Amino acid sequence: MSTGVQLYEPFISSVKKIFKDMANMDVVFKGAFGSESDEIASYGVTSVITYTGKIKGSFLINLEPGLALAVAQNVNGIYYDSVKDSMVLATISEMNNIIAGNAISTLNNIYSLGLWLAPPYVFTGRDAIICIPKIPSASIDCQTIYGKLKVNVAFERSGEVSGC
Amino acid sequence: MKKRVLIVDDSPLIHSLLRKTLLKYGYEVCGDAKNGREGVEMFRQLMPDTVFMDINMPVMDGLEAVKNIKQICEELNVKARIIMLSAIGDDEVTVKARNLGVFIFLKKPFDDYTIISAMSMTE
Repeated sequence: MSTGVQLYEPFISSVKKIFKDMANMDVVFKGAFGSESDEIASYGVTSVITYTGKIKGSFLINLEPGLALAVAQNVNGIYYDSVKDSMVLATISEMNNIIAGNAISTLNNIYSLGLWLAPPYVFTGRDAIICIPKIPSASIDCQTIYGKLKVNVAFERSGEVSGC
Repeated sequence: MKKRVLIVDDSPLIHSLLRKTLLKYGYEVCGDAKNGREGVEMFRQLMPDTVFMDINMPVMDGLEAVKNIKQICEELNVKARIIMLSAIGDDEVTVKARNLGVFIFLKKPFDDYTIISAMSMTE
């Protein structure tokens, strides 16, 4: 992978850790990161966050509705019956923020990339087509006992990056 | 007398989780702000004992808000402990925060123990 597998690894570790720490869920990764096309079909609840610094990119988590509801329930200790509930969306959005924040903190410490996050956004809708900007991205499919999840990481080099 | 806490974060989830923990352990949440500018205004009005401050927020980020709050504290000769609570916690950011006068820097996610330990250090 031309941008370096090292750039993706903190995101995988962060997804595993944050799902476990916040939602008490084990995430099983199915295979390795593979190149993604320009379009991703939403499973039901999707959150995207972008970052900039010495490299630019985005991080996306795409969850089945049942998984999103279970995450919100486990984090908040409250039952929700709709993914459109504002607290369900706030939970997924903040989890995405924390996952990406933890990952870029690791990258900043190792590679001094000066990465910073923009606020995340979240939307609902099954089979909505999410068009990824024309920068290389890779996805990995994941499974939990509550449903499936796809994680997508995109990076575009914006200048002087060494060591990765 | 209960310690009064102001929460400054753009995430409704963080407000909800922090509020639950703080109330459970006998603290008073005196205000909720959703960005740094609101946080500074509320600080001036409410004069809390402790502020939980996120970094990455719209309108005014947490580091800028900390600078403003520290200025208010100097002007009015009051003391407030600022606990920074952020998803981004690389070395450069934590050093910057400490240099601005942040009392404790915590990385998200957090649990009850982390929050209450931090609060006990402010006393």
